[in-house]
Amino acid sequence: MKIILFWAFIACGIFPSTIPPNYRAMYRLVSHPDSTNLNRIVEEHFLLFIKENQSSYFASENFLKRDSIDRLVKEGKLSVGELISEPKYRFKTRFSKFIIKDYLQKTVTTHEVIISVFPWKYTEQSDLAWTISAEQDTLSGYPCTKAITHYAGRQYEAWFTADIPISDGPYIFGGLPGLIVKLNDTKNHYVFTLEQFGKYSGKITEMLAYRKQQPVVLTHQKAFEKREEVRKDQTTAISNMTGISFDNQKVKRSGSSEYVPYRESLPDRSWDNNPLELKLK
Amino acid sequence: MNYFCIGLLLLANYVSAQSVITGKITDAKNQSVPYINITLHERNTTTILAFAITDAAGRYSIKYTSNADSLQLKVYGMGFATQTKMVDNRAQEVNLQLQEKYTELKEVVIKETPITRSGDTLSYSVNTFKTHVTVPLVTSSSGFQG
Repeated sequence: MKIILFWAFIACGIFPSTIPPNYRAMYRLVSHPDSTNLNRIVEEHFLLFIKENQSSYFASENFLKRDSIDRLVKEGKLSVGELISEPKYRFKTRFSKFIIKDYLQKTVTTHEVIISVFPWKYTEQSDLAWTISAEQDTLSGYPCTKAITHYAGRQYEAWFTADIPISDGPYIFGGLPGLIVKLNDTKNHYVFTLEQFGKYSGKITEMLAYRKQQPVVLTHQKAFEKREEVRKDQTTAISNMTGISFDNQKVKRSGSSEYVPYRESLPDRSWDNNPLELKLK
Repeated sequence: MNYFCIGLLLLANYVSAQSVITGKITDAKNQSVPYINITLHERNTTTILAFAITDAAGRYSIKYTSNADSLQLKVYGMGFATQTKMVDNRAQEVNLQLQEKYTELKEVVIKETPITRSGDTLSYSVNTFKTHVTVPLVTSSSGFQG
């Protein structure tokens, strides 16, 4: 009887829970992937899940959808054939990253899946040096204060609010006395803006499905070099990582019956010249 | 040589004005509280001079520079009532005990901009045009009286 009463009290919420609730923030990123043509704009939505004020999980919304599809394939609920043939299972993202922040350890772990057969991850201490300015403004309905920092070759301005006392924000950014509501580099090539914030009772993805391969552990510097290799010459980078050579392969040119060397069939990617991380140190 | 002396004096003045406040934040049960934000302000201002976030042991350390006589510490975090305390402008240890208080954080949904322009392209957000407001139809003849 006592046990029944205890559970009844729990169910009625008589004993208040000391575990902080989970929250979800949605950010919109407006970015310019081509620094020579600022009319080229890419927009993408990102989700930041804050778990019990202990850790957070950040990724592009499309990246998380892609991960859910991978999970279905891994669990045998979707076949690889269906995945390849159905366009509805494809979700495009320019940010194939899953970022985990551990508030207690003060670490940021980045999982990166640019090439699914060669995923990697790296962990760093969150040691951004912020300078808080006297500038204040109201953004997204919150009273905000401006702070400045440098990261990976760019200077950033962050607007944070003490109204949400969670020391977090988009991407790897955080460590301020309040949630970041807006973050932009000083050239406005990357602008994250908070669009939604609220309690979240759904399931939080705490680890990627990793359908094909578990991630290898790299340093941030090594990961940066590999990411840059892929951005500058995807074919050579994949060849180097997998050992598969594409040099003698010919493929059909899109929209014609003509066979051309593999490299000639690839679309021009010269517009991809302005990554968020420009350089390290 | 003169410039060197002036520079040295300025540096000495700067160094003497720099100070540090350290301390520990605990809850009503004397348990240390991590992830608490501590901001330091001059009296009657909202400008943040310096800030810190408590570590796993509830400890913090704030380095700051100010010539004010006294300063205000603002201590706030998830699940606790915000506390403010006036302190003298000097190196010292300030330990504070917070009272638990559940505060519902303000939820927000920002409306999308209905029409955005990028170069010579106009983009329309369909969702923003999905309003539930019924606009009454008025015929042109109803505007004429008599």
